Amino acid sequence: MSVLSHAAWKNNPAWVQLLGLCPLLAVSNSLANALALSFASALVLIGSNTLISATRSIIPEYARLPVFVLVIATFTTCATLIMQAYAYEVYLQVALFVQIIVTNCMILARAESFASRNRLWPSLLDAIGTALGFAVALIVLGAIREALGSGSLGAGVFSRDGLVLADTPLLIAALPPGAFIIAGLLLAFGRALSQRQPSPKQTTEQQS
Amino acid sequence: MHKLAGFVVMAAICGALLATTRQWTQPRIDAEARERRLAAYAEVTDRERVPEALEANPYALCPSVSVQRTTTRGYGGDMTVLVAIKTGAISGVRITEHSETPGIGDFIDSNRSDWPNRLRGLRADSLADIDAVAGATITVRAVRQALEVALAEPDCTHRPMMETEA
Repeated sequence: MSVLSHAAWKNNPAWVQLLGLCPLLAVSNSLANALALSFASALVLIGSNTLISATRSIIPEYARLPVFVLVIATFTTCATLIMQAYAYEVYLQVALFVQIIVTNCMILARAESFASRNRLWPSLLDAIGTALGFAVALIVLGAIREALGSGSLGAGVFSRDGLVLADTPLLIAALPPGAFIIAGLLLAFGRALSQRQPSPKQTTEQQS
Repeated sequence: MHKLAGFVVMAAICGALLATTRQWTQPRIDAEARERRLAAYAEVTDRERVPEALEANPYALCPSVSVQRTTTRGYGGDMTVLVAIKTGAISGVRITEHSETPGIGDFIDSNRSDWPNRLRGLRADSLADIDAVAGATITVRAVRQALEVALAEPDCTHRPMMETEA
């Protein structure tokens, strides 16, 4: 279980490693989009980590990166097809960002640094943890930006308009600059929290 | 083990995965796409639902309205426009497929703006009245061209005799 919590929290892909920021910032303008991308990323992460870990003995060492990319591309295409079949409306909103999951360095990093060196079970846990961490980051950012930028919460998730919070939203929160500002504030907040109870090991890890 | 064996096995696994997923999802994706196409036809004619025949025959709803589907070249690629026509005047416009620049071209999407609905009532001789949109000259021109083509087709009152008999 320590693998799981380490991947999801201490080594959170978005807030600690700062990986996968492109989709994180681009898609987090609403809760519905955030959920959709979390789901697709989780599917790709879990699939690729599991397959790579299971086949790590036959993947040629000198050409492992192309093989990893092939596996990740395969799962990304599968995720795209599944979303097209079962959540077409949502898919249209996030189509581009689902497709570029294949270039998300967060997933390649897990394949290279964890799945290709570990057994199946820890690799699966690592993938679940990373996916959870990424999902939490996406969903928190998505919820804040939707609340501030569109004045609603969960539009298209619970009901068509979601929970209506305000009539005059702060438009900048829904636009790209707002994504950077809010993500920066969240990052600073997370750092402040973790520095309050410093453990020497944790600080060095975060600075890498 | 031969150097290439690893590659071959991995490629085979990935290929099998893709083929299975496609087999499994294809029928649903096709149904979903058909549903969406018909939904666009229903929206453009202000109806709850439309007969499937409308896709092949623009005059299936005559004598009330004819629906022309035209494709023009927009800024980012082909653009498919549905135009509902009642006695020579446009009664509804929906852009069903396009690849215009996100953000700049968003106004042609009826879910995001009122622009497509403001085209109602235009006739072949009043197409010059279309509101221009700053920064999207080519997009607007493409829509206008689609409307021109659609309005050049006969409407319900002038439809060719063959269609009536069919």
